[in-house]
Amino acid sequence: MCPSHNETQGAGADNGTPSNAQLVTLVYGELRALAHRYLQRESRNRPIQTTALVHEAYLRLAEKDVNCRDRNHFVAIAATTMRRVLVDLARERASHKRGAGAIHLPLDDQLVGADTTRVDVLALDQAMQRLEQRDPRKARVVELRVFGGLTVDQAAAALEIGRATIERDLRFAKAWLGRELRAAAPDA
Amino acid sequence: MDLERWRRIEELFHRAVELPEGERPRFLAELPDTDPELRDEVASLLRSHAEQDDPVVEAVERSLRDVAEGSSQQTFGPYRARRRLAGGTQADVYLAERTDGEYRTQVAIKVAKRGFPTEELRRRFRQERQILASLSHPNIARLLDGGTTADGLPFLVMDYVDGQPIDRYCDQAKCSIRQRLELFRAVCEAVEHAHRNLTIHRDLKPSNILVTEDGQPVLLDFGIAKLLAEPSRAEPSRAEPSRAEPSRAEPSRAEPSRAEPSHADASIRTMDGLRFLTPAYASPEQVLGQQLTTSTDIYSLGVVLYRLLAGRPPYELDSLEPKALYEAVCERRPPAPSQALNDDAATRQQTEAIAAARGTSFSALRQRLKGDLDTITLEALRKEPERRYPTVAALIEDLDRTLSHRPISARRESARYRFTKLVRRHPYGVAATAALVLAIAIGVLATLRATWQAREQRDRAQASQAEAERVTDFMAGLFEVASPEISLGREPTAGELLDLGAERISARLDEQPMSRSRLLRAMGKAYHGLGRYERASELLREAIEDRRQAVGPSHPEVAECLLDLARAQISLGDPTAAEQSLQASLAICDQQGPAADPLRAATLNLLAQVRQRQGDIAQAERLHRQAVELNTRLLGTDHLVTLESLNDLAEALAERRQFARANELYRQVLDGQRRQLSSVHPDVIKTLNNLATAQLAAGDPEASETSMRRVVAARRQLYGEDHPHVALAYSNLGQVLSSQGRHAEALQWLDSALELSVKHYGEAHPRVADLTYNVGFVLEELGRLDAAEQRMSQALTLRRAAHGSQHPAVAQSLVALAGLHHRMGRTDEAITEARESLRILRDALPADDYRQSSPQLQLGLLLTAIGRCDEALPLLERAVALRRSYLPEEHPALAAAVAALRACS
Repeated sequence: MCPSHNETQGAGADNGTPSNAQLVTLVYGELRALAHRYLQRESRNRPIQTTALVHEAYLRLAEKDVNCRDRNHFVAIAATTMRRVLVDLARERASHKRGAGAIHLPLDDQLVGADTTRVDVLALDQAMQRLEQRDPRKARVVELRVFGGLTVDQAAAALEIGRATIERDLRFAKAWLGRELRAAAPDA
Repeated sequence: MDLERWRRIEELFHRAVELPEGERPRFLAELPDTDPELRDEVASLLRSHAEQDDPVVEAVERSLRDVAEGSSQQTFGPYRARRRLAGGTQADVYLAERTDGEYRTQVAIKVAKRGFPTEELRRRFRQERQILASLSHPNIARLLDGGTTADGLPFLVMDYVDGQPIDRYCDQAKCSIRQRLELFRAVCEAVEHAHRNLTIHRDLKPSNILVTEDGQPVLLDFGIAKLLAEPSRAEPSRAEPSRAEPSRAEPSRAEPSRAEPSHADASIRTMDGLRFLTPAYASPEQVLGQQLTTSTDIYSLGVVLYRLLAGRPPYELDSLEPKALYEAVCERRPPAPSQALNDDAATRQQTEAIAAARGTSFSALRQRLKGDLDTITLEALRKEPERRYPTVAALIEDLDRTLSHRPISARRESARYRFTKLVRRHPYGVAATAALVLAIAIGVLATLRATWQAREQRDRAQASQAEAERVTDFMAGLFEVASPEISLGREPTAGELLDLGAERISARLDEQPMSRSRLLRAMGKAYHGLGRYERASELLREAIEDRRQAVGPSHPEVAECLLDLARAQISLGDPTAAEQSLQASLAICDQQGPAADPLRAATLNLLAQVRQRQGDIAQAERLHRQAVELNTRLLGTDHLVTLESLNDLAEALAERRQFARANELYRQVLDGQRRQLSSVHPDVIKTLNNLATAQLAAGDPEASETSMRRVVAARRQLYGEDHPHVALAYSNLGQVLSSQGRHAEALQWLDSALELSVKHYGEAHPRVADLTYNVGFVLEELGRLDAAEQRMSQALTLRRAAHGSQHPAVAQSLVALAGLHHRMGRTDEAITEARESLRILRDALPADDYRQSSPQLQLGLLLTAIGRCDEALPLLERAVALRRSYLPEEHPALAAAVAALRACS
């Protein structure tokens, strides 16, 4: 049984159940690999859902015998992790575009690409951090819904609060985050 | 913001949202005026809520899309990927174009999925790039560039080829068997070109052979397999990171290679997890992880040919387990292509489709494949590399023959095959013997086949064919008899086999003097190879006698044999006898007229060698010139035989210390050879080495270094890192560097040479002694006198043991020790050594031999140092005179002697 999100992080339990920290590490690796592989495969034509990624990550970890049979709890962790994966990937892309660390052997000139990095997910992450300071639960709901792809019912179950509360939280958080993001976006 | 205020905003927001949109402004207006900020806050949230878009979801979706595009929008140096063409377990391939606008060349970029240490990659790249770049051939996609991505993944930029894999192309275009063969022939030409430049593909398969729209096959990924191979486990550079000389740490070319798959073909890691190969096209030696040669490509070409012809693979791989793979590739004998198809009910439909794609019917296809095409394909697919076609050129030759309905060279289950099989039944310990005996048989066969090729003499060809089989049977019988009788628990030596053969020969082949003569000649040459010159001469004389009886005394075949005899006599140290043989040959040439001119040229060349040995260098040079002129007239300036005689002339000139002229000729030879041979062909290396030696002797160490480095690179490429020939090249380069005063660099090369030589020759070998001497010499130059003394003494001991105490090499060691001891202030020891050295040379060499100048100079310097100038003077005068006779005036060795003389007088 997967530890719940609220459990304190500690060393792995003796029954083979990974600790939260271990699980996050596993999920992180899985999601990251999946993001690359999955997205390459699916390519440009179809929009990709985080839900699909999280679902596949779950299946893969279950195959690997990671003791984590409670899907909702898994997804609760996966949602946070998914956010981190996307943020990390965006950061890496930004740094690649600046040509950092590129080594080019035989050719003379190394072309440095224009910095056209989209900052959206990074801006979203920053806005979410501000939201977390004011209202952690709302940030969490957004995470579950948007990054983890949970339905309202699943989110309600995961956070052990009512459906209506989830919906209200989501409505407010989205309005708030939307305002923050529109303000941050250039020329929007 | 405090929580209470946050909650208040939230509550107001929800209340407003639940109102119809039109009522919201009024709701906001009714809020108390005391807190305008609160009202603005709620208002902005409501506006945000009313927007159609959802920036939160969009941000996530966009970032996902970015990740997806990240793999296809990647940039590689000045190239931007446009789309992914293929991906394997080892690498992805992208279509890309240059981003710097000027040329919008499309390229294919191959990115390894696995990082390399940057230095490692840099080194490999440097190493391979030049070779790959030199593979300029219209049917080979070029390697353009390479580098590392920001993630540290190596990438290679290649010509982008828009085409289809050859098998698919042929099927879709419904190419006939002839069209397929012609296409395949073009592929072979390209591979042959690469082989001549000593590049092995290692991963030939249809997906690496694309056919463009205009029907041109283009080979992809030449040499790439090696470049992207897994870093080897024992990297010298990692083991010794402090070594400054980067070229020393180059990984061995001889290391077992791991082919790397390209595009979409299945690839696997084999048992040790290090080799990569494409199982369906891998050769047995690849599966076994053995050293790869050009023969590996010939095998893979065989698999490709098999598929093109029969539409099926030579064997089905049931599994990719190492054991199954081994069994299929190394053990299972593939059926002939014609037998790969059958029209069982189960496979009929498939078979008919295969035939239809070749514009024919099943039975006609099978009939077409039977015979030559079966034989050619199976010959390329032999399990043992040495039984395949020896070169791609030989494969092309057979393709041409079958395309023009001439008999092919590969033969089914021939006498030769039975014989070679017999030889191969013996374990590898016998290889040297077997190879020698085999060489004799094959040598005879090759001659016969050459005759056979003259089709206008059909009858004679058939006679030769019969003769070939008689000879082969004889050799085979010889081996069969030899094994049980002689071996008795050990393998017969080549000598024993030859002795047995010589005994049996007269009894067996008495009624066929020409067959007997051929065998006697082959055996005579084999004895020559074994260093038994006396016996060689005897057999060759018998062979000549047989020939005289069979074809008359003035027949060119008699002269051919006379040349072999002369060679044996030269080796025997009997120039007078050799001259007689050669004069007899010249007499035949005179009788035969211009038809015998090639023989005359060969005779003149040998006669020149005889004269050189007799000390008549001027005459030798004249004869060499005649040979060169004759060959030029007969064969043209660029013919390899002409170049060979030109090389001999240059050697004669170098012997006369006419280095400038020798250098000029060597260059000429080199240019000619390069036009026809790969730059690492042994003959080219030999010429280059000669040139480098002459350049050094002529006092041009920079030019010599350039040449010598090329020798080193070429030898490494040809023989791998672990070979005595490579040690020799290291040692030569070391000497060249040392002569430029770059002793530290020289020491590294010499150390490597020494290490390698000890490994191959053992501690006591004369060559090890020479190298030890050279190391000592360089150590002295570096001022490491104690270490130098140790090496020099060691070399002296080794040389005394190897040559006896009165040998010039011992004298050389003694004079070197004298110089060393002089520097160390041990004058008495030094004088004794120098005197001993001088005495040995005086006894061993003619008075005017320049080698005497070294102990003369050394002793003169020592005597001067202790104030005995009167004694020193005549020695120094003599040294200067000797050196002046063979060195240019500005040569430092001469200058040193002159300075010593001046100091004294």
